[in-house]
Amino acid sequence: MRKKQKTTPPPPYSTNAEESDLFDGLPDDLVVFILCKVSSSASSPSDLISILFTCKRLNRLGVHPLVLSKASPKALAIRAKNWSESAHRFLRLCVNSGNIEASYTLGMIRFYCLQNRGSGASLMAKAAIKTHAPALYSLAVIQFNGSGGSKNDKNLKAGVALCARAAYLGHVDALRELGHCLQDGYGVRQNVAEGRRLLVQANTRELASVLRARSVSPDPGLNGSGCGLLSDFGCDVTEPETHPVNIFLKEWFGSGCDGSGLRMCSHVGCGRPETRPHEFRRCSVCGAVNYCSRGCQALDWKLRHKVECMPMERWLEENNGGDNGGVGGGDGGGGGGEEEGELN
Amino acid sequence: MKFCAVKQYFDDENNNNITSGASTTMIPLPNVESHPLAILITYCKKHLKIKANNADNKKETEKEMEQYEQELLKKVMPQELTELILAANYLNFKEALDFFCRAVASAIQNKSIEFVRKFFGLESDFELGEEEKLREEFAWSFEGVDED
Repeated sequence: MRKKQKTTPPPPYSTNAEESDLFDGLPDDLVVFILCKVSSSASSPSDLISILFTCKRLNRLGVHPLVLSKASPKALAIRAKNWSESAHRFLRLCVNSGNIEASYTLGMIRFYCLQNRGSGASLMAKAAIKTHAPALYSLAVIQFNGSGGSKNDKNLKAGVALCARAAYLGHVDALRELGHCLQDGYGVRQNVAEGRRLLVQANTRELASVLRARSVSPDPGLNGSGCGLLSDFGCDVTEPETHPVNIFLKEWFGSGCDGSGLRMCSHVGCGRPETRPHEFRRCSVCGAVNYCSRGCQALDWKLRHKVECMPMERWLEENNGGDNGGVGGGDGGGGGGEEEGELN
Repeated sequence: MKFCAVKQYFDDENNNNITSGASTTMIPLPNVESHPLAILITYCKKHLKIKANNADNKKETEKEMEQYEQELLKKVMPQELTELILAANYLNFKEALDFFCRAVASAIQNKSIEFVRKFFGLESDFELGEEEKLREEFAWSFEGVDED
């Protein structure tokens, strides 16, 4: 949105060709307009931040609320190892300027990494109110698991409602999650057909977005380990791009084994940690992996777990030669089974 | 009417019932020099022509427009960009303003500080300690900056 020209008339042109100072000739609001474009198309924080170093005027204008409010998600992609008070302050500035990506990012960081549940949740809510789909989905996961509180703080209905709103906006993970909830009657009345329909819709959306990305940059070499669920249909497509904040979470919690015994979601694209012991559900077949949500479980199953999942009993038998068969081996039924980690 | 600032002159003419010949009204443009004005007029004409050619197909319009814009950018010097931006701003020509600002933005994106300074002919007016302090403060953001 272009700001209207303020009352100050533009300064006269510099007639001296050698001293062409591009920015001198431009009034502040036009410079802000240009910087808005820089921030909205930035692919990393340094794109925007390095502008602040050039001169005092740009330093002042670079942190203009209008510029910060347009910052793209990638411009806010801070690496966990670089986290500092200054980074925190920068994100807060962006939040105050009304940037909902920053609200979501800072919310996630405060909730999970800095353990500040209240502030984190309210920041995410701020983004969610402005219909930010990832924020809605993250809040749904928190409601489903009762994160930050006790087991009794789980609110399945709230989780489903939030998921539904995110799904309405086309968020693929939320669609999947809602599909599974409908199939299992979890937090909502069971409706298998509707659930199935949503799962198919999630897959088609994912395929559509990958194809769209492909048509922009046709690079057949991108086929790494094929994408999760679409491999069902013989489609070998690449994984969807993870949000920068999930990468941050992943890096922050390192290998995933906290001293206090809290595990991380085993899906590589997620990075969420537990907020209390036994919060996440684990695979009932092998019991070796945990997930924060059905969506993560389904994706990880197709991505890699399908090949490595093996019932515990069989594994122990093979290795111990007939010992007492193993602890918590689980049901060994088909794939992707799950059970609550917490004992009732 | 793309040049919104001069729109009023044309409305007046219609009211005065001038159907034949060129108008005799002088339109004052004190803040626009001839060179940027010429470029803007060409840009506008091209834009309208492409739109007319591809009336139904929006994608074609965009593609052709992009091609034209790329060629235009190659011919325009950075110094002229300021004049073009100011002219487009004065004339209230939204598409051109948007385009030229985008061009400037993409030119300075992900470039080192020295490059940006050189590009715009800026001088650092920071004091000695200030710049060091700034660098330290924002050290967290620096990763993979293009060295030109």
